[in-house]
Amino acid sequence: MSKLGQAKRIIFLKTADGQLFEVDEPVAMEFEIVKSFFDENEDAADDTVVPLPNVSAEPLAGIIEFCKAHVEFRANGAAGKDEVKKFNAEYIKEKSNEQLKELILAANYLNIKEMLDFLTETIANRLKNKSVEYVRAFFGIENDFTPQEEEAVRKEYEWAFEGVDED
Amino acid sequence: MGAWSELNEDLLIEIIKRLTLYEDLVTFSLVCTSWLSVAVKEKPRFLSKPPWLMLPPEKPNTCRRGFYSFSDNMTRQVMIPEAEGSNKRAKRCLSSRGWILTISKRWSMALLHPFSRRQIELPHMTTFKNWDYLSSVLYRPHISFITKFVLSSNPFSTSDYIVMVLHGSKRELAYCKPGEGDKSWTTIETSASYNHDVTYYNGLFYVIKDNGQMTACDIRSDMAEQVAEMPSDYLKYPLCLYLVESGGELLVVSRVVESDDISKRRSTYRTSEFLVFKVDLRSNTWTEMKNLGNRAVFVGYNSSFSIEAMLCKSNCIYFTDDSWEIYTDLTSHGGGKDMGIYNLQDGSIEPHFRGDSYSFMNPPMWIAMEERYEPLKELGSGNFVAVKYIGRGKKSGLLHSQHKSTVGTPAYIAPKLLSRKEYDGKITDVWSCVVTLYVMLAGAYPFEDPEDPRNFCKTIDSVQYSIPDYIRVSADYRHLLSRIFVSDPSERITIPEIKQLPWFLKNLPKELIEIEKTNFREALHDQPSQSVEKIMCIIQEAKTPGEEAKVGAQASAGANDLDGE
Repeated sequence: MSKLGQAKRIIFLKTADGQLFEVDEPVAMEFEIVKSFFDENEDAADDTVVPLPNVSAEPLAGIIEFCKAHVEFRANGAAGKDEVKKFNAEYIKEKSNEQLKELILAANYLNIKEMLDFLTETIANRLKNKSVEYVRAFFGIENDFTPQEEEAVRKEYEWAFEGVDED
Repeated sequence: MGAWSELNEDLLIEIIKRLTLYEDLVTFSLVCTSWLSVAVKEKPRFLSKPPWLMLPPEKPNTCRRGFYSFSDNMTRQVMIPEAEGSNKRAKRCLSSRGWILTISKRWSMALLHPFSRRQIELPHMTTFKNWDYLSSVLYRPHISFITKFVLSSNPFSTSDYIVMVLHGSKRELAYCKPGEGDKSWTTIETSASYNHDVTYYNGLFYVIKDNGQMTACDIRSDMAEQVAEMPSDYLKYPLCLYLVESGGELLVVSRVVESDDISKRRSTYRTSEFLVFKVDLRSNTWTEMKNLGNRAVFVGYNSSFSIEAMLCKSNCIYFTDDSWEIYTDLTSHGGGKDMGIYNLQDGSIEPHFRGDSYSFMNPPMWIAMEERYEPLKELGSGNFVAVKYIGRGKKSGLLHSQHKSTVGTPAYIAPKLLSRKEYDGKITDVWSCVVTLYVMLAGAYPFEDPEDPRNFCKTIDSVQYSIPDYIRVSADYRHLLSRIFVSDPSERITIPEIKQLPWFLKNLPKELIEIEKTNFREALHDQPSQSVEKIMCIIQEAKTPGEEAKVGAQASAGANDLDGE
């Protein structure tokens, strides 16, 4: 049983690939799914391990890093300041496309609002003013339109395809 | 490794919300079929953006028109050969609801959707009543005969729409219904006076005359009736009035134009201010407004409209040059000079377009972004509404159980559920049913804060909802919403009560009316109309196979009936 005034509580999370993470309570509570787990099981023992069957260790480590930083920003009253933007920019710079995808799927499953906002914004920025071919190649998506279907949609929006970046 | 194309719909929607340009949404649509299907659903919301400023052709003999977007300060060149006549000269264009009325030099008329380039032919200009006389007094009738164009609804969403125009030197009313194959224009007789503007509001066309008289016109009877009169103090000559609906209210916008010296015959005119009046049609009360709330109004050669100020400035009037002085001024380059954004709060005017763009024929004009909104088709193609609702309940506790778990899509959940106390499943189901009904009508969630779309809890708990402007709903339906979207479940309307509402009873088949009457009586007098044993018996019956075929057949017959209506 948790008691008030107790020292730092640690939450145990277990990933799909069997790794056990020890996370500070405020950081773990950023995950809506973990929070509601404890809301619904108020009498859960302190050493309860919360299973996360849809998340593997690598994205979870990345998410913990992000949330930990943001929890600290909030505690220091730095939320919304340049410091945060700088951290976010650095954070995403190191991530490959594949890692970005794993992160967003995991963040979505764990239901972390702040991180989801940030990741969807990042993806939207990577789409802006790009050609369809570029977007497909960038995200590794196979074109599943028939040539006729694609032609029909393109024709409808002909005017939209002038002056896109070819990078 | 999951593929990017398998991102779930909610995530894709979040990404679309963060795109700013329509082109990016088009690119998004073309990536793969699953992205396309999400983009199609999100498009109406995406397009609720600031309008385009359609610029005159830069050079003759090109099919290109510039569309300027002030939200990102970019002009896009669009190929629209349909806006040119066979003589390679631009046609005269007026706009309404994202559509353009084109008039050729040879007086043929059509509706044109600039981005899809879809065209709808309209009756020829010579089919107006008294055409010979009316056109004989005008110089270049293809420019000056039609001066305003208003659509009652978007031709993409219904074939039952009306094209209304102001025509002739007195700007009289005439209309046609292309969906019914009209071959000529029908003039609506009103008392003789110059009409300033016409708008479609709550199922009627309203016009305002030079003497301040406001008239409502009913197309079904071709009747026009005076409904209000602008107090003479408010009439500031030379008068320039617009009619516009904003947030469900009918507004009269008066544009005050200053002209240094008309006798010099030089276009020195300039808009100095706007006055906005709210008109209460029942009592003929005119109230000057200093605040449009979070809305912006767009006036000029377009049919006047207002939008929610999301990417434009709120409480502002965006105006273009629609002065007739340019035609009397030999030194003028055409219209395009007197444009800007008028701030109703402090009376300041700032520019929205900084380039030079003049034309006699087609001065810059607003094009509303209402394009290709096809609510019926979109709803028909996806069962997502029903699926989401079904996901809300939980299998345990078939009878009057007090549910504890919260399951389902947040947008559909009733307030007490969000606060996670125990709740009465039946009463909250009523709520969810009506949210489903709302989504079916509006194609959007009722409780959604545009600033904070993921946080349904905030808007649902405070029971803030609104019905989007582009959807016409009956007063009965509004009444139902107001009875149902009540935070306290015990105050909320119940199913038996709903079944007594005019909204429910309207067009209900006779057999059903009888059944409903009986049910209501039972519900009133005999609360537990079914005993637990009886219910268990029914459930047992339902579990027995063999009856399915029959039920299925009935259901599909019912669906056919609905389609037939």
